[in-house]
Formats: sequence, structure tokens, C-alpha cells
Amino acid sequence: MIISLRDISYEGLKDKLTKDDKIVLWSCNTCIKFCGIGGYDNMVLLENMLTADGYDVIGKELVSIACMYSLTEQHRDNPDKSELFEEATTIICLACEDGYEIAEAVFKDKKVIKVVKTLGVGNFTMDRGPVLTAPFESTGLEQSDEGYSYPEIAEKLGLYPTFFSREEARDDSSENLVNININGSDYKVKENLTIMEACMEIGIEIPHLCSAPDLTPDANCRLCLVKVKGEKELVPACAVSVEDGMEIITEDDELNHNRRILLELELASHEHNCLTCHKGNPVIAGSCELQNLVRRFGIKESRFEQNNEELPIDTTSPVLLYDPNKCILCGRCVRACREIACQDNLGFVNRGSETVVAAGANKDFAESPCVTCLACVFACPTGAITEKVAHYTGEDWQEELIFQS
Amino acid sequence: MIFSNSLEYKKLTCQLDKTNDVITIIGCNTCIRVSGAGGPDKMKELALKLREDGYNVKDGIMLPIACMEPYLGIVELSPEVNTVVSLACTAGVSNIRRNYPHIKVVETVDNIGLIVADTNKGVVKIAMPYERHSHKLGEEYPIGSDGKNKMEKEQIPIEVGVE
Repeated sequence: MIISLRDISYEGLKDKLTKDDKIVLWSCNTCIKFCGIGGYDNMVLLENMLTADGYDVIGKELVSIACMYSLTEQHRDNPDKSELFEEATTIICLACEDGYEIAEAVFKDKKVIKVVKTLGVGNFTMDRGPVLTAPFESTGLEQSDEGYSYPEIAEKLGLYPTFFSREEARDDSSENLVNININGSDYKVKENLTIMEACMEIGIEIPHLCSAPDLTPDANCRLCLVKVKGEKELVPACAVSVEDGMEIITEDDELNHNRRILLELELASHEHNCLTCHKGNPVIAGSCELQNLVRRFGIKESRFEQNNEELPIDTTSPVLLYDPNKCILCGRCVRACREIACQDNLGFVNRGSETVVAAGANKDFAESPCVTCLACVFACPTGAITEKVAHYTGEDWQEELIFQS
Repeated sequence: MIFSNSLEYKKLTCQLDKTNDVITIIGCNTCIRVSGAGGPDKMKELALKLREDGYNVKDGIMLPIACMEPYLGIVELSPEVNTVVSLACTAGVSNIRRNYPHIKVVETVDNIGLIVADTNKGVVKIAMPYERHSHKLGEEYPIGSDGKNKMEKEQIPIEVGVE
């Protein structure tokens, strides 16, 4: 992975901005995320900091791989984003210098600000996080298999070992708050948050499968339905914003009964046997969210008739496996491909119980225009789309897939 | 993305012992595949060539990203394997060396530097080369060409070389 460290202070960043700037935050979701600088969470953090300090952040864009020129152009030219990028005057680039060079070229008419120094390549380790193993000669550091840790590099080269800190910006915690009541307790939360986001900030977890912080809500899994006083129907917490005076119930016997039924229906819809699943122990792309929920609700088996139809697994992609038998049709991969990769290579085909996610014009992955950016892999909450790990052996170098466990 | 080019085959084989080395090839399926120096097809080509030339290549493992330690945790080397031929960039090699200190690890590629890519045009451009390859700044190659067939006309219209 490409190793970059922050080379600008928060004050230094503000010096490059004016209060008239219309700012878009541009964040890469690959190497730089594992450097602790890019990705979705840091982009939201910086948005909150700049907004608190009175800067006009008009949007944020998560990009699956910012060092792909074609992908950056597609983000800029996305009809859903054209107004945003037309209005923007300033792009703050949370990408390595490789990605910055592309952003600078693609957004020629805008001020593009970089926040990192790219130092070479290295590893993401289990105990020390990112380390630099093959530095550029200009750093003055020798190549090292052991690698240089971030605190070490920061000290040697005068850089910052971590991302900006929320404390560096003005405290706006008392501004724009609404009063809500959740499960009988009163809270003050920021306006414009969804019920789910507000609950997350408070520390209340609402079960969900189709929603993810970095994707637009779709409210299709129905697991996050909650009760709101005065509403006739249950409302999806991932898609409804909090309002002043809102009284919300996130958990009771009725809601949990509904959730158990939904989870049992998911289990019955296809073969969700964990023994045949490629999403094993949590690795980079996280663990199975369906399994976590099934365990949380103490479900041992489904009361519904099991669909035993076996759908063929697509192993044609060089980088991923698509097992439709493990798919819950949450659409996170479809939205990730559209919103983070800007490719629109994935979509739903067929109707009703025949519905599946398909690549390209309902082709194998290898025949589709997949750019192998792995946005769908990182979005999938189950073992439907996983990284491909293969073992080759025998006279003909036969491929055998390895389970990640 | 990281751009790597294959080393000469002889530079690889001169580090291997036909009699004693039992070899697993560990490959990376990310940047090096885009560079054309690695990936599943290159791994098969290399394995079969080494076998043909009398080397004991037992098996191969293709990881999604070889520079990330958690993926290396999936690898289970056979007890008789004493040599890993790494079909990964320098970062992948360091990862393997650190995790298998008792095993001989042989590199197969040279890191040229960082590239930008255009998947629509099928082109990569060298944007941040290592100093020893600084003359390659701005050069463009077809995706998967392993540093061959340098393109004459600029395909990716960006200025490279960040100040």
C-alpha cells in the first residue's frame, strides 16, 4: 500500500481557505484509509471541524480508488453530482499525492488542496498499523522489511502521525441541537441526523443490514424500523431525520419479533450455511453482519420453508467471488458501485424471488466492465461478495478457492 | 497504485536451488496485476516455467493484497516448503519476510514507483518514480504490459511530479 502522512496542521489548512470557499471534501477509500487519513469517517470528521469553524462545506465525495483517472472523471461527470461540482470552488483532497495529481487535473478550475506527503510503499500490520518499508530516496530513509511506524516517521521527517483532531476546531456542541426522547430517556442531538445516526452517537445500536454510513439510505431491509410517537406506521431509522420533540422506541417485544421474522426469512431465502461461506473470520473487509444479528437475536433456525435452490457461484473475477446464495439483496454493493466507484456495473435483475444482483449486462464479473476496485466487497454485509483467495497446485496448476477462516 | 516490472528470469533462478528448495509462490492480485508483472496468469506461467526448468514448485497462493498483514494470516505453508517466490511488489516482499523469518524469500520484481491509471483507455502513467527510475517520470504503458510497449502519445492528460 502507498504510505502517506499528513503534512499540514489544521491551522495551516484553514490558512488556505476563505469563508467564501464552497468546499467539497474528496476522500479516497483505499491505501490512504488504512493510513488513517482518508475513508469516510475522517471525511465526516473534517466536515464537522470546518463547519464548526464557519467554513462552507457543500459536499463530500468518497472515491473507491483516487489514483484512477477515469474513475475521478466519472465522479465529476456524474449527473447526480454535476450541481455540486459546478458550485464547488475548493476541493480538499484526502488522497495520496498520486490521487492529488489526478484531482488537480480533473478539477482544473478549482483550488485543490492536498493534506499529505506520500513517502513510498509499505504494509498494514496487525500490531503497528501502517508501516513504511520502501521509502522514496528523498526521505533519506533506508529500505526496511521491519518498516518505520508512523510516530517514528513523523518524528524523523517533521510530519503528523495522525489525522486532524476534533479538539482543534471550535466546539459547536451546543449549537443546532434538537431534543429527542429515545426509549424513555431524553437526549440532545444534532439536527439533520437520521434517527440511526443519532442513536449511534448516543451509543444505541439499531439492527440494520442495508444501511451503511458511506452509502445513501435505501430502507429496504426493514430491520431498523422503529416506533415514533404520532406516526401511524413504523419508520425506517436509517432514512428518517430526527425532529425536535420526537419520541422514539428502538426496541420492544413487537419490534424485536418483527426483526426475528425478517432475519429468519433471510435465512430461509437461500443457503446461508456459514460452513460454506467465504466470509470467515474478520479480515480487512469485516465480519458477517447477518451472522452477528442472527446470534444477537438468538436465532437457531428459521421457522420458514428453506429454499434449497443452489445458484451458481461466479468465480470469474480475478479479485472477487460472487456467491448469490449468500446474498440478502440489501443493495449495498449496487449503491457502492454507483456511488463510491461511480461505475454502475451492478444492479438487480429479475423480479420477486428470482431477483439477484448481476454484473454488467447480466454477465459474469469477468465479462462486465468491473474495474476491480473492491468497493462492493467492502460494502457487502454477508459472504455474497468476498475477496478471492486462491490456492494453486497440481500438474495443471489447478485453482482451488481458500476460505478466509 | 504501485508499478512494478519483472526482473530477468535469470536473476530469479540464480537465487534458487533445484535440489534443496521446495517452493511456494505467493502472489498479489492488486497493483502488480495491473502492472502486468503479477496476477494469476503470470503466476501460472512462472510456476510452469520453473518446473520445466527443474525447480520444485509445490504450489501457489494468490492473495487479494499481499502488503496487508491480515491477508497473510490466511496462508498456510506446507511444512516441507523452505522457499517463497514472491510475485508481489517490494511492500509485499517485506510483509512476507517479516512473517516468515525462517524462510528464504525471493523477489521477482523491481518497484518503479507510483502510477495513475485510466481503466477506460487501459493505460498507466508513472507519476512518482523512485529516484533510480526518475527518468521514467511521465512514461505511459498499456495496463498489464509489464513495462513494455511504452506509449508514444500522451493518453492521461495530467501533470506529474508534485512540488
